[in-house]
Amino acid sequence: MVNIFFKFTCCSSPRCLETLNEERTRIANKETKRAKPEIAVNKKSQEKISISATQQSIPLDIVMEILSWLPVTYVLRMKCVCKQWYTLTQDCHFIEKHMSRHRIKCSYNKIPITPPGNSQDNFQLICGCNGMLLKKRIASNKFLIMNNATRQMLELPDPHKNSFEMVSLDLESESFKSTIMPKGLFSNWEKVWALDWNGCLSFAVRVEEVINVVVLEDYKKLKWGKEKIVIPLAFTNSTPNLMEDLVPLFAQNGLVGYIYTASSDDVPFFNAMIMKVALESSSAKCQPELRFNQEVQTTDLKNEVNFSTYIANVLEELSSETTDLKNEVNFSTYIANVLEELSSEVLEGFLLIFRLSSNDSVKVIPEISCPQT
Amino acid sequence: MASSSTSVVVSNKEKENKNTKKVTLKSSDGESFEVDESVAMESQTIKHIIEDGCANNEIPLPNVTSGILSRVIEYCKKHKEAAGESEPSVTSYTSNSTTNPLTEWDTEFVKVDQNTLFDLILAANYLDIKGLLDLTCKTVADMMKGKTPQEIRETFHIKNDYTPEEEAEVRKENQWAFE
Repeated sequence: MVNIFFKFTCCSSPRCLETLNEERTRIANKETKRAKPEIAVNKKSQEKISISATQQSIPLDIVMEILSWLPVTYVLRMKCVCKQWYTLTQDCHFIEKHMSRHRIKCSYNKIPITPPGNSQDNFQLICGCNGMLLKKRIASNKFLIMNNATRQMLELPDPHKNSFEMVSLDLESESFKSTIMPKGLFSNWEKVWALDWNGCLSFAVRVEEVINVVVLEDYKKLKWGKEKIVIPLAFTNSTPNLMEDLVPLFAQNGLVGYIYTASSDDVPFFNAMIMKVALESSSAKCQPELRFNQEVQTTDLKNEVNFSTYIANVLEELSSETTDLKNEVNFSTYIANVLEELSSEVLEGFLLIFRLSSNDSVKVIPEISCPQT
Repeated sequence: MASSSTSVVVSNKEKENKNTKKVTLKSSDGESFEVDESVAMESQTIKHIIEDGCANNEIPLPNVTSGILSRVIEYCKKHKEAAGESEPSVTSYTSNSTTNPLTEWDTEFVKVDQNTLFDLILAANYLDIKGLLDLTCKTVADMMKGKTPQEIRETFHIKNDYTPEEEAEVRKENQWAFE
């Protein structure tokens, strides 16, 4: 039986750090036993390394640095070298480092939906995020998460009937945890969006003139915030009908970003907005202040050049206007993720995915990590 | 540069003095190298030693031989010059190679034998010089692309701890990556 080792994008929890440090110490100790007599303590990594002229062994830290420059296909080949390297390629720190070197450029990525060699089940693509695709087997109604770069798949557990369930994937153990949602949290789940509220999971729904947000404050204990946070959308009074399809994107450092779609004269467009909210200490009410407002036609998105220019302009505007928007990366990633849902196309067996480079000053990306046709 | 403010004049003078300040680095085989402090500070390790006041003008580097140290110093000098008089540069290897004037120089710099290359990596790691570490690691990575697992093992002096069956299984798991 083949064990499928599988890791998601990254996991920076303390537990993960511990495990790696333990492993590093164990490996370093093993290495120094066969190293030559001259040994010095490396101030930086607390590892003992051999300093003889012809190296007996390269420390794991260094191997990690070197491998992080390799494109995914080569990293996968390195698994065959030895067991330590196999484990290394699965390590979350390595994956994080690797991802930081291989941002995918803003472009169309044509990615085959059914990779060759896999089973011939028919899949329906639901959405994608950070290189992961969520797919559904049409025949059996089962959901799968697939890492398109490494072609590994993980099947989601079946939902329980007659309940609203939240399934969470623990990145450390790669196991699933199912939680039944508290009753009465929201009246209509179809309009609820998941929102990153300062790093916590939250659910947001637009109810007329406000956005209600409920935050999962403690994910381990599954403790939800006592009160709903209410964000008034007062300034949109003039265009109430345009707020139909509002999608909250992120909430970070006092800024809430969202987009909404609409059409005018039969031309679909979406609006991206960022509001600054100041949470008053006494109540959960926010005073919003509009910081950014931009409209774009979805037809523009078909043209790659315009799209990347547009996003570049957006980011530039954002960084000059809002000094507290520390995380343009998150904003652009979220825009990309949402746009996938809005404007991804399944075309003749290919999925067109829009991706952004995290930093527009990065011009050349070593390799695009997803397999290209 | 004329300035009416006293504090500006003083700080300019300080800056001047700092620029000509030298430190001595001593390699593991006892050779001493005198370099500008600002060049030496391309190494974060050395920078911390100096800032902690532990320098005493001679810094021993038991981890680095003279051959390697002289190359490292060459790298630091070159990159410091290129960066001008600003703070120690952080060379990014994700930047477009056609706009980076040092790329050609860097490429020549790493045309060395494998042992030297690895020694440079270890030195860059120990001395904490990001640009050099990135450059050397990237060079090794590029070199690895053309090698088989067995060749990689030889390069890194790694023992194969897979049984033939295990290795075949791992290869099969990722077969498509070998095509």
